Amino acid sequence: MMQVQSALDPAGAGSASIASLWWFMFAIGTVVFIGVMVATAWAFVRHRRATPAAEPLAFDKRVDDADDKRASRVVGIAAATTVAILIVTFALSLGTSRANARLATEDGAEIEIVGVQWWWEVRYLDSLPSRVVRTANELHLPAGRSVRLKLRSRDVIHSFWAPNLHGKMDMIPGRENTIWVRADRPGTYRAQCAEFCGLQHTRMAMAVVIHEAPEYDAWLESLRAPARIQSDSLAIAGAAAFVRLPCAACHMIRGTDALGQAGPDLTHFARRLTIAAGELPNTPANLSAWLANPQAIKPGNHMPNVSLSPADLSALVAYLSGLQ
Amino acid sequence: MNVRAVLDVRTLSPYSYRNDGALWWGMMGMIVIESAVFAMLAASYFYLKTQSAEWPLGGYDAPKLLLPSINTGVLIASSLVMHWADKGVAKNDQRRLRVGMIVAALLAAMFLVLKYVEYSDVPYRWDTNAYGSIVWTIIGFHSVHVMVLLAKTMVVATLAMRGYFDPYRRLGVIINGMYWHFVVAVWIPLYVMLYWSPRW
Amino acid sequence: MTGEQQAATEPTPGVGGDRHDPSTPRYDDVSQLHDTWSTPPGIIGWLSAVNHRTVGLRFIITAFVFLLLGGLLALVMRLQLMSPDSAILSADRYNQFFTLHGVTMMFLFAVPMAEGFAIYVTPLLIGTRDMAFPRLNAFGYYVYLIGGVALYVSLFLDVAPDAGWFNYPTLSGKTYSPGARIDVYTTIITFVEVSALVAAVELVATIFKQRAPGMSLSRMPLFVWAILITSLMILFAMPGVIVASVMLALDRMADTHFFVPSGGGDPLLWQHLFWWFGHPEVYIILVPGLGFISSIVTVFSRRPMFGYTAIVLSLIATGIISFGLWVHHMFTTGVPELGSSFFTAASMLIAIPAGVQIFCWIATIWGGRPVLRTPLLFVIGFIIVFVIGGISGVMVASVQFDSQVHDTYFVVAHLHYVLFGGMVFPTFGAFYYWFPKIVGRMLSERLGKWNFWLLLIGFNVTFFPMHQLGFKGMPRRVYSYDDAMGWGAENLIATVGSWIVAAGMLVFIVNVIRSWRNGEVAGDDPWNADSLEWLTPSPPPQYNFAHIPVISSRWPLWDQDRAGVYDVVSGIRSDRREVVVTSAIEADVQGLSVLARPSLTPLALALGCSVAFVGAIWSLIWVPVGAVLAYLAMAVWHWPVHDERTPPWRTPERDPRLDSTEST
Repeated sequence: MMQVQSALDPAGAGSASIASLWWFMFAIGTVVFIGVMVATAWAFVRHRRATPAAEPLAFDKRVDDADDKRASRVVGIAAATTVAILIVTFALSLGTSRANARLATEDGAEIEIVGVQWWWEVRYLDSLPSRVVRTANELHLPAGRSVRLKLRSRDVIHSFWAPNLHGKMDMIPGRENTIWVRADRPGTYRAQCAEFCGLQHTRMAMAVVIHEAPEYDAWLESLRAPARIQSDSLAIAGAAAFVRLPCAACHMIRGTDALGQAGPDLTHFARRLTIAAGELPNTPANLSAWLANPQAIKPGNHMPNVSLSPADLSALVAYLSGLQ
Repeated sequence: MNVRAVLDVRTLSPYSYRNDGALWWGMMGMIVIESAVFAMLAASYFYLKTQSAEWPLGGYDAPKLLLPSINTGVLIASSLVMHWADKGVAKNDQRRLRVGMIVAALLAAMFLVLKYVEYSDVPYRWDTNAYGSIVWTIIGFHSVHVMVLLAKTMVVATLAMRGYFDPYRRLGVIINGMYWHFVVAVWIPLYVMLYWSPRW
Repeated sequence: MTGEQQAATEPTPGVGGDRHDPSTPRYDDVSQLHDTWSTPPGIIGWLSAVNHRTVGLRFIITAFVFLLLGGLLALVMRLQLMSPDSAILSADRYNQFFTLHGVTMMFLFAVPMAEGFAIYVTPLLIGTRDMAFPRLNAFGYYVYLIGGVALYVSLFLDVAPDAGWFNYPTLSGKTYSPGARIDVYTTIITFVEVSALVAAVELVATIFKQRAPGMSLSRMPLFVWAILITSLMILFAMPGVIVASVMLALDRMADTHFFVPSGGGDPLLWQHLFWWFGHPEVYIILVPGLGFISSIVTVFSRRPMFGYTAIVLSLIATGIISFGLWVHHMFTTGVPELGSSFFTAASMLIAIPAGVQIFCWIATIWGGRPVLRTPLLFVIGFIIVFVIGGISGVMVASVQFDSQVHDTYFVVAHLHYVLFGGMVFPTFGAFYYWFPKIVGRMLSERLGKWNFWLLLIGFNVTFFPMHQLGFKGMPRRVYSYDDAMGWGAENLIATVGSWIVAAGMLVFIVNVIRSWRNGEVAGDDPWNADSLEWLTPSPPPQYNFAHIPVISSRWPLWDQDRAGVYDVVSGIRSDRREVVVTSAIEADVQGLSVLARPSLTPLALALGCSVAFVGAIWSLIWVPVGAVLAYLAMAVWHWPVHDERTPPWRTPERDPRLDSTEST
């Protein structure tokens, strides 16, 4: 489903320019490494035949002045070469920074991502407050358009990182960081938290879905709709259970009485690819396991175990799986 | 191993009270560390200041100037007196050493009392906001240094009362004085920072 | 001991002392030196030892034990990551393990190990009998020992810190880390830093004031230069983390708002303060390693170091530039681009002095007659590993590249290449090089080669695949991963590599144990080396040198050996702990200083500080209690004792001598 992460298999403009920088630096680095190794080896083998291995450690103060003169020249050249290589690398590094800074546009869409222990709140911003959509644990992007990601945190420092898309940027409480990204290749990728954020830092990931631009627009529009009213009786029971049980205290399902803000918005839950911030594929079986015992799947996460009757459990699974 | 004595040190001073002995370097090391600590605190103060829209945070007025300015004068005076006492023992004037140390210690104690008076009256505490935190921490940290001065001076003064020091044996007084002057000197930039910089 | 050394224990003509009249001071009496400089017997004597070689060796052994403990933590973590979804460690335990691994290696192994060698070797290298402040030295050790033990006790009490060695707020603030774990971090770190700071101060004072007459700065061994620069860096860097830790402790215990955004604080303030310390810390760990390398390369190339001046200038440049790099740990925090370009430039700049030193060592080997003994093997290992780490270091200095690999296994690989390469390999070289001096016996060359190859291969097998893991998006500090991520193969290889490293360590331990008892007897100077520590027996006597040498060359043993006669100082009293004080630059003789004798007060002071610091984890009441205890210990420590043999006051001949110095 999701592609394996790779910083060297770019699907976005940012990753692409960084990958080329890497390959260039890798080439230079390899040459430098081989150069130093050859020099070291040569320094040793130069006297190999003249010095029996068993020779006692007698000190030989005779320093060959001609040798030292040659050595001075070579060391000088090597130092100068080092400086030259560093200047070139610095220039290329600056060039990459410039290239990625140019992703900024006047009228790019804005998406706000808020890091929370251990999931992501995602808001698709709009100049009209009523058109802002709040969702969670999945980022959708249009191919070919620059998008501004506003990164914030609700609790501790997190870092948003989708290796195939762009470099990472920290989410720091009390601050707002911005990166401009441009996705180029449609597909489903993975993002994850890259700054240690506590007990379940390991299990804080999400899917990044890149659509063709028109498809993205339609997707976003459909996301603005409130939760689908379901007619299936099990689902109706599930909707009631959701509000009756502690679920609604933390989760919002737009169009219902579930107004909680602490946890992920579940309005279009069934559309998501994963459960629990990238932890499990979103299937009814996984959902059932998660609802029954979230602490077993992601120990220490902030969703408490709620003892559910089998009836409630299957009703909730049916209800949530129907939230298209 | 054959050795050849080429340098006889028998006639040299058995200890160095000149101001570049190992102890001087050790004290300088201590002063460098402490200066770095104060510099870090000052850097934090300015960092928090630049991160804030208003300073002092929370809409408080900039701190009052009169009392702390007088108090700064008191602290500088204590340093001058300490220097005077130090010069006294160099001339083997025991009375001047004793009087000087006591007066300097009293001035330092007065500094602490005035600080206490001043800070019982400020409207913010360390737990009010980041401004209160950094100001109280710097004041507290510096005041602890003044207390340490007093504690150290108690030991040195006890020795002075017993007539222990003389022009040749006054390293204890010199080192105590060095630290004293440092604690006073470091206060002056802190004073400017805490009391004047919010007005800039 | 050869006949020649035997002669040294007899007063040399012209260097005599009066053996018979106890009322007059005695000079240069070698048989009396032993009594004057030895540590009292028994457990009390053991606890009151202050001699630099005793304290230095304690540092080295303790730091090695912590290396093993930190290594064990790493082995368990590698076992956990060997395969996907393993459950050897819970998330909670894993977080404590990686935190403790980092804290141990940085604070309890790398810095104290280098200090241990510095404390042991520096006075020998500069030709003096002890450090300038022997009691402070002992105090530094006790503080370190108590802090380190307390940290590991916390692991067993399940209160070990779990927010990483970098301990970023707000995660480490009281809201998200209630309980005592982070309090253990803030207090123990501050406590252990005190040890590093006092060692730095006294190394600076000793190096500037107690070099043998004639050892001007331009004749000082490169290792001593490295230690001098490291110590100066410690003085300026460590206060950063102390201030940060104190602020965090206040945030947690006294409700201040330094790092709390809602109170006007800023979590990034911690990062600035921490990395102000944390980046120089990397070089504080590396520079002594460079000093080891310089010593070894000189001796085993059997020629004077090529480019002595260039190396000294490079060390100084490294020390200065290292304070301009800290923001490169914060490239992903959203620092403005102009600022970050400056730090990119500085971070690349520091490759130049490192490169110059490597070129000089290669040129020395090239122009000399290298003998491939184990210490030199470790130099080769150092060059291979450190160059890779240096190259990846230049890469991560680039803001954009860093934004991909920051906080991934690429950086885990990079930092281990730099630190393991730059510190552990040189340290093992130093073990093999100085073990004969410290113990009097040689380590086995055969086991040494096994030790070396296992470490070199094991290290690369462990850490090289981690570069790839970084590109594949494996973040640091994850306790587990899903099979679907495709990280399994590299992790399996890395874990196998960690076992090879462990095997290398075992070989070393076996080598030490065997050689300590049965190794080939070393003699004074088994390597035919250039520097002063090889002038004295192995292990050196309590007083280091029977006669303090007078130096007229950068490579004193090589230059003076020809004549077979050593120039020495005469007229040093042997009935008290007297050392020669020389001027800071030229090392002209200025006077004599009398050092403190063994005492229990350093231990008492360390215990007083422990009550204050460790007690503070549970209640602030303990701070004043500990402070009073510490104050009493210090007062007793410094209180002059009126005993004729007790320095430094009340000597009968004091006044006339003073007068004569004043006039000269």
